Amino acid sequence: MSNILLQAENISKYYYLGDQKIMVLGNVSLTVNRGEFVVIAGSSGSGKTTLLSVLSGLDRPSIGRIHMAGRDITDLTEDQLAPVRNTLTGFVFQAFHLIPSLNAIENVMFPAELKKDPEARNKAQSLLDQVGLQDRGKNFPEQLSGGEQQRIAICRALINDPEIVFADEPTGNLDSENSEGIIQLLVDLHKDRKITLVIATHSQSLASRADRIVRLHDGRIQEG
Amino acid sequence: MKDAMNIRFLIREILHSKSQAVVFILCVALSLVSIVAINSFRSDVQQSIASDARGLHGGDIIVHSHYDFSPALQQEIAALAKKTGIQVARTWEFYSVARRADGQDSLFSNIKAVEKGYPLYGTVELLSGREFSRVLQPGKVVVAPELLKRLGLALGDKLLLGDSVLEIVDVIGRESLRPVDFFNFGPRILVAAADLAQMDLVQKGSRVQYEALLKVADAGQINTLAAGLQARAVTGQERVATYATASSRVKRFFDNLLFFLSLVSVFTLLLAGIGMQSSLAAFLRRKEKSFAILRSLGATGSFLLRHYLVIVFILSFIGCAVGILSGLLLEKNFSTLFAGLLPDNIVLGGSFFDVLEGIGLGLVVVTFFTFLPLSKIKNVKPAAVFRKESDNGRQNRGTYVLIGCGIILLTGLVVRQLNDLRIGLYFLGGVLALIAVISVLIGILLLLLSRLQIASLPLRQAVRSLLRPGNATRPIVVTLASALSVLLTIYLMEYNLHATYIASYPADAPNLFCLDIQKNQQHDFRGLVGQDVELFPIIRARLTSINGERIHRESEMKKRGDSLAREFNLTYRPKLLSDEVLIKGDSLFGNVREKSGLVPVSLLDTVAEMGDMKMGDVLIFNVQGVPMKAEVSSIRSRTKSMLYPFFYFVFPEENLRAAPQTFFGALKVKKSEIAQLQNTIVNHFPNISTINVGETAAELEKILQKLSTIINFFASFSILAGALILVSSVLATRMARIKEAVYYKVLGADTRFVLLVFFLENFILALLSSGCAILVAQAGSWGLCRFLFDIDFDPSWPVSFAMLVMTVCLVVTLGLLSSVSILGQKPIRFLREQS
Repeated sequence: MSNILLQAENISKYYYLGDQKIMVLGNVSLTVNRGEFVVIAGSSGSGKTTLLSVLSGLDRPSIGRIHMAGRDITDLTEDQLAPVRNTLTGFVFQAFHLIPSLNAIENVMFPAELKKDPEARNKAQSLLDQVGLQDRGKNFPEQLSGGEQQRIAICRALINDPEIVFADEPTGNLDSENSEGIIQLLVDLHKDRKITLVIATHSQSLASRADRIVRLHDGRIQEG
Repeated sequence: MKDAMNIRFLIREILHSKSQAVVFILCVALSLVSIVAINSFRSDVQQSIASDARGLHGGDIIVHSHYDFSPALQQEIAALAKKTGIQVARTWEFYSVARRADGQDSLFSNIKAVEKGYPLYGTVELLSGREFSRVLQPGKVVVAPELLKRLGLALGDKLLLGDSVLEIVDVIGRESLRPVDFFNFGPRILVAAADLAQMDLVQKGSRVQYEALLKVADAGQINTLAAGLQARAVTGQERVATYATASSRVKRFFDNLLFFLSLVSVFTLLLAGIGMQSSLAAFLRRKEKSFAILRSLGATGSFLLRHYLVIVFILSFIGCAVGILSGLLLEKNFSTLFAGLLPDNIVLGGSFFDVLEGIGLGLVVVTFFTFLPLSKIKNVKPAAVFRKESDNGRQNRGTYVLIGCGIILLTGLVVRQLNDLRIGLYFLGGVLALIAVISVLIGILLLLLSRLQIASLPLRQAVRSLLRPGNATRPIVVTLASALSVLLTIYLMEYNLHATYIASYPADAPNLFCLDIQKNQQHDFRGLVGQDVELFPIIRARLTSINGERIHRESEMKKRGDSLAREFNLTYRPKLLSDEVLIKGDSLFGNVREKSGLVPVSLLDTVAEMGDMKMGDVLIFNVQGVPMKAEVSSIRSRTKSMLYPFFYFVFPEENLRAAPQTFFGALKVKKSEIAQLQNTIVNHFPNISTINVGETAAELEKILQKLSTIINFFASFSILAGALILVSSVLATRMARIKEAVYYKVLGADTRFVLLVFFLENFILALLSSGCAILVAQAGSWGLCRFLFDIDFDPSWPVSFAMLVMTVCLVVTLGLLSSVSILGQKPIRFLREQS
């Protein structure tokens, strides 16, 4: 088995605003190895989130190819991407994006239920125990604090034991105390579970704990 | 910003939520379209009747009676006829059988014998184009084209009417006195009054409408002359009216039909109003954040309210314009929908007044239904920029006062539309009760749903989505269920009435009725048709008072349905009929005679309910001029509902034996032999009228089908209101749906899963709506059949099932159409917006 889990080859991403072509990413190539903790850093508008979304298959590059676990996912349809997202990857977002009509444990178990895992509830409860939210399982997202919601989102990302977790500014909506807690949680998970982590962030604290920092400027890799 | 009206802001706000704005406009339009069409149609019908009132009644003064005029009245009419400037024409109208001269065929027909000069106003147009008064001479008849067709006759042929042989000289094209002819179960024959005696069809007790029409040259004299005639008329028996005050069957028919259609239209208006409110609330919900931002920038609550009032005004104006125009356009095409039912002189088309009335209606409706959502704008606080504040639902006193005013305004509108305070209030109460019952049912079902432990993931997600915060599940289901329940109830009533009275006419029931059999013809009639024929004596009389309280003709005639002021057929017999049971009293006549010395009378339960009459009540009848005091000795009920003779009032034979009477015969004849027997009877007894019951029922069914098509057409507008509320809710929850779809996809769900969740959500919504509608409609129809019509109830489940399937298809299609576009898109676009 190859050690390379994720590979981006010469990817560019641009949009059209009227007649104007806006280049967001320009000819970016990147490789992420299994078990690696990579932080994508850069100032606002540098293209961090775009790069993360293209790498994870949430968006499609205008030019270039993306390979994940040895498979070219660039041209996969949404339905072809569904099993990839369900089992191979996990996502954590700045705005948490929990399903508002489901309570905490239901949010966590949802991806496992999608793949018909009979142990979904037990696994979800176990993850909630691990992040200290064992008593908050029946609360709905709106009844939880930002830090609690983000921990739920991390549990949800992990329930199907993905090989790689993508996180976009996971501490962006949190205060410093909660941010530190989330950073520690991610770092611990990476160490304990040997999960590959790709995180787009402004946070120096988070970046400082990464194996590698990929720094972007105007859509191009400056360093890393 | 605080004072000026920002036009750009107005335009941007409308364009930003254009889908909801369109739904709001459509709701306003829908609330008006059927009601404007009905009101405009009503004014056209009234116009057509009022503009030709003299032509419709045939004279300035109309004297009417079911008996030959009393001597005093006859003298007065004769005296007036001699005066200069006054012209009189008498008419006799009745049903009898017209026969071919060879006796081979006969037809139950409407015969009108008229004196020279008839009609004094209006026209009888003949197909030949000749003048009616020149053509209708003694010994001649003019007939409706249908008579020629059905009897296989032609101009110049002979026609037997009673004992007369008359020549058919022309064919009727149009009669202004008979602008519609679907009320009549036989073709018209006009005959000269001079032939009446020879025909010998008007005999004692015969059912004849006697009329004297007067044309008065000096219009100022009309009321005085009418009053003079009224003074000589027998009260309660002879009626004198002027062309301006006289009622007509045409007017009564349209009054009743338009009243019912108004009920349906008001129902649609209320549902569309709910749609207006829910779409505006959804429209404003999307703007809450903007309101908070504007407030934090210094905009006052009244700045926002003022702008949104203008927005609602603009949208309402467009909606009103669309609704009024569509209503008038619809009315213009009523000639297709009402084909065969319209007066032939009606001109369909909207007037300026119709437009004004529509605008007034629109203003009331929009004000009432938009007030609550708009009133909340002022309460949005700048702090809402930071957090979502939930509405505590409390209203201040001013709001309650305004809601009260709105309810009074709406009640006024409904009462005005229905032109009846009592029924208006009952109707509003009924609609509110219907909505309350359905709301409670839905509330219980949604609560049960929320507590269900559902194993299937898509089904659980669908239920959770249905219960998502801000979802308009409840108003959608309540509105759809209310509309569907009304439609299904109308259908079920129609179906059960049809099944009882027409389709399931019992095989052993009489199918040939014979009317106007004279007392001295009884023996020979039995000899001709068989000794076992049942003959019912009929004595015509009026009820004049109940326990000393007079029956007021005017108020009784205003009532919808049967009237106590009409003429009744009394009968006498010693025992109950085979389809009757006693529900009050030990025997038909009890011991009234011994106790009070009054004449005992047995009532049928339906008439007892009409007049709130009880055992022991004292009734006074006018039996063709002779008063008769009677006491209620028993109350009967019928065990079967069918076209079989029944009598409201039954007396002992000794009390009515001597009264002028005819007999009614009910025969059971093989279908193939009916026509032959009819010929035999009328050839032997020309004065006896025969009615083929099966044929009459079929004619009745045709009219009922036509009417039910019209009612269903208008009722279907209420379904549209339900659909608009559904669309409004789909639009209002579109963001929530997109959000869910994107989350499902990010977490690894495929298209099939997302579609399945959306499908199930809409499927449950449709099931709840149609399920509740079926429950309420079945229960309501059962109650109506059981307690109001007193007939058996058949639930007709296949139709309920069909409605359920159609609702599911409609709701699922609408729901899925709005969500399909989300499926193929990459999730990142939405996630970025959310972040």
